[in-house]
Formats: sequence, structure tokens, C-alpha cells
Amino acid sequence: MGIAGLDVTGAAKAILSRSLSPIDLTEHMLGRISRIDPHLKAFVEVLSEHARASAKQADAEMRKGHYRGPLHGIPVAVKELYDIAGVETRSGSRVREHYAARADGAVIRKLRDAGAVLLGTTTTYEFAFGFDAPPTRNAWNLGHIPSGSTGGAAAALAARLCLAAVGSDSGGSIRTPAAANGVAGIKPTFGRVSKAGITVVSWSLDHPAPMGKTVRDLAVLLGVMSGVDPNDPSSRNLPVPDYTKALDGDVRGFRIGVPSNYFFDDVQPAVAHAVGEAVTVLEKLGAAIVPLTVPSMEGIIDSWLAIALAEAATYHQQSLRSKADLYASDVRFLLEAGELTLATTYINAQRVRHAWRSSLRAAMETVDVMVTPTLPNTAMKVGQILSKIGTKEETVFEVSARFCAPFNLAGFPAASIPCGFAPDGLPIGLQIIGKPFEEEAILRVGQAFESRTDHHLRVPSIAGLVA
Amino acid sequence: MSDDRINPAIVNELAATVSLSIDEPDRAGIAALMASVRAAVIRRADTLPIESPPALVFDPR
Repeated sequence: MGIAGLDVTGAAKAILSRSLSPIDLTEHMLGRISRIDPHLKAFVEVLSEHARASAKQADAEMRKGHYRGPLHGIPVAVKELYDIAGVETRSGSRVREHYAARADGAVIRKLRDAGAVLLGTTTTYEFAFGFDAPPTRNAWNLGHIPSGSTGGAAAALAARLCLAAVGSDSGGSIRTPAAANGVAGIKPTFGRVSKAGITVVSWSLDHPAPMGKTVRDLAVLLGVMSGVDPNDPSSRNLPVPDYTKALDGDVRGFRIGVPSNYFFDDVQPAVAHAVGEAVTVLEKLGAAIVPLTVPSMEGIIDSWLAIALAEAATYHQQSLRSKADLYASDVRFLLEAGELTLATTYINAQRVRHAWRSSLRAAMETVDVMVTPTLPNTAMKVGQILSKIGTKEETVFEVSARFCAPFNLAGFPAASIPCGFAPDGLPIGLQIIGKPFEEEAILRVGQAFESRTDHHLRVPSIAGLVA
Repeated sequence: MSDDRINPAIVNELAATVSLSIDEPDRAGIAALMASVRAAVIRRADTLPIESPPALVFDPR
């Protein structure tokens, strides 16, 4: 794969040793996008001139001995939900036609400060209020969806059209597309990364989050993105660790919880098999596998949905009245349902949330992390409305939320990393859940798993269309 | 709490009170979604002690 096969860490080494310039790396990615993205449709806008200027600046700075760190000169894709000064970011909606922010959002500012090259904006479902990112296709099979509202970024990353990406996760939208496209993504603890300058889905469920080809890249990106921000009152003033220090491949003595209820119910056999194999790998690495009973899940997804509906409807209250016809019909449907959600339902959902968070914390007291499948199935077909696993029929919305949304409700950190492939060649993700502000434990386990497996090294055939 | 169903005809009347007009084909679906979410949330919330608080955050800054 040559240059395209590099991860952030590998590219940073090549840049630092002067064997690769940010200018050549950026041009290489722009060339790949022009040839491959017409098939994949992952990018909304390719910021070619902007990226070239940033790459040139990075090159000049490094020639003067000013190296900003491992993201310096690295091409990164951005979900079309983030404010980028002067760039149209429509959040996938006609409602925001021609919207261009005057200033960068907090994460974009941090990426720029770290020297990253913003390559372009990637597709999202309208206002990220769904579990698909049309018209984008899955990088492993163009007849399937990329899943999740950060699907554009995930498909682009899997096809090696960028080296990393940033997106958001309000009910699984980083983890499900990561799983469906065979890449890694981590939703940090609520409050770890500022949400300022990112279009709101739901104030209390939204999590800005990175995607990468490897867990090490997630550690680098998360370190850059994290930190308190006065413009986001929910961001927490806690020290940001050097996440890469957790990546020593050693999980001996680590206690890894495996739920014996809910998270393995109604799962495709290939998914159950891959996750079971992953648990065996972790055990062989010296981790202690601890069967865990997860607290009652009754009403958890509905409580998440009640909060998402009500908060999203509040955010869209004005435009739902002035521009209702510009919304996609299914998003409008959800927002109208949110408008009519009773205050008592919202408050009760927040009561359930409080209790769920406490009981989850207690259940995880004796373990360092918990692992589950990220999704019960592999990516659904384009146009497929219902997923059928055994006798259970669910919409794409329901099937995507089932294992991921509970951790948005709790605010706990959770990642998805590749752990196998189904017989039809579609990737499968392993979800690793940690305790609040203990992302290092997730990254440590994920990187240890990667060190013994090669799932993350496989690339879809579309990535090989050009060298 | 005794009846989880919501009459779709009521949905538009309710929407009108907040200056919204819901397309006729969506009313039954919205009524069903509202009812099922409300019922599921209440079922779980009813298992909690009445003093169990919501996870609302007030930041006085």
C-alpha cells in the first residue's frame, strides 16, 4: 500500500526523518480521493487548496526546526458537523445550506495547533440524527451502508483516503461505523473533549471522538483533542494524560468483564464467534476474564431515545417551524416526536440515566474494562430497512443503538476496534468499555489485542484501486 | 399509566398547541413512538425509589 498504508504514527516517523514530506503525503491523499471517492462518496467537500496550504506551512515549519508533534503534516478528515472557519458545513442538511462558521470549533482549533492538515469534510446523516451516512457506501462492499452518522469518515479511513478522522458519537456514531468499516474509534468519557463548535444532536449525549487505523493513532488524536474548554460548560477540568504511555502491550493481571446477559442476545453467529475469539486472545495475553452480569437493561434504550428526541427537538425548535419542508422526512418525524415528548418522560429518563450510571459503575467495580460486540450484526445492505437476526427484527436505528447507546446514556468511555470478518467479508468490531476518565485502560487493552492480531491491517479491495 | 396508547388524532391537536403541524401520514407513527417510549421509560422509572434523582446538571457559572 506504500504511503497510503501508513498510519499516523508511521507517517509521523517518516515525516520526522524527512523520508516523506507533508506536501507529498497530502498530494498522495488528494490523488487517492479523486480516484476512489467517486465510488465511495465519503467526502462532502475536499479542501484541496486549504490542505495544500497547510501542508506547505507544515513543511516550512519543520524545515525551520519547529515540529509540533505527531499530527504535524498529517491529513485528517472531518465529519461535516464541525465548524471550520470559512468552510461550508451543512451538517448533512438542506436546512443549513450555505452555513459557514466564522471561527473554528474547539477540536478543529486543537487539530490546527497540532499542525494537522484538514483534508475535507465527510458525510453525515442529516444532523447526525440517524445511523447511516448516505450516499456513502461501505468501503468493504459498496452494496452495504457504512453505518453510523460518522460513516463518511469511517469509509474514507478504511479506503485509505485519509490518515485519521474526527467525528461524533451520540448513540454509537463513532463506534458503529468503525466496526462496520474495519477501523478503530473511541468515544471518550462525556466531558473529556469539548463540544464547542460542533452541531448539537443532544447536549447531554454528544461526544466528539476520533477515528484511526490503529489504537495508537486513537491515543495520539485523543491526547490532542482532550481538555477543558470555557466554551463547553460540560467539559471537565482534569489533567490530560499522555495516552500513548498506556500502550505497552501488557494486560497481564488486567480484569476484563464479559457480560453474560443482554450483550450477546440476538447476535449474528459470526459476530459472536469473532468476539469470543477476541476474548480468548486477551486471555492468552494474561488478562483475567471475568463473567459479569450487567444491571437491568429494561428501559435503557428508550430512556436514551427520550433524551435524544427531546434535546434534539429543542435545538431544532425554531427551524422546525420555519424550514420544516427542508428536513429529511425521517428526521422531521423524530424531531416532531421530540417536540411532543412530555417533560415528565424526559425527567423520568434522566432518573433512569442516573440509576443506570450508578449501577453500571458498581457492576464494573471489580474489572478494568468490559468487552462486548459493537454491533449485533455486520453492515446492512443499502436500502435495507429491517435487520433480522434469528427471530428478532429491528430497524437500522434500533440495531445500531442496542449495544452502543447505553454508554452514551452513562457517559462512560467506549471504543470499537476490528476483531474479525464475517464469511461475507464484512468487518466485525469489538467494543471495549471503560470507567469514567479511564480511557487509558481501553487503549491499553485495544493495543495489546492489535499486537497479537492482524484484523486492523487488512484493507478493502477498493483501497487498492490505486497505489 | 393505565393506557399506553395515544390517539393519533390527538397528536395533531397537541402539536397545534405548540405551533406545529404534523403531516397526516406521520401522526400514527408519532403517536406509537411517543406511547412506546413513554411506557418503557415509566416502567423502568417505576422500579426506582421515588426520591431517586434525575441526572440533570446545573452549572452555576
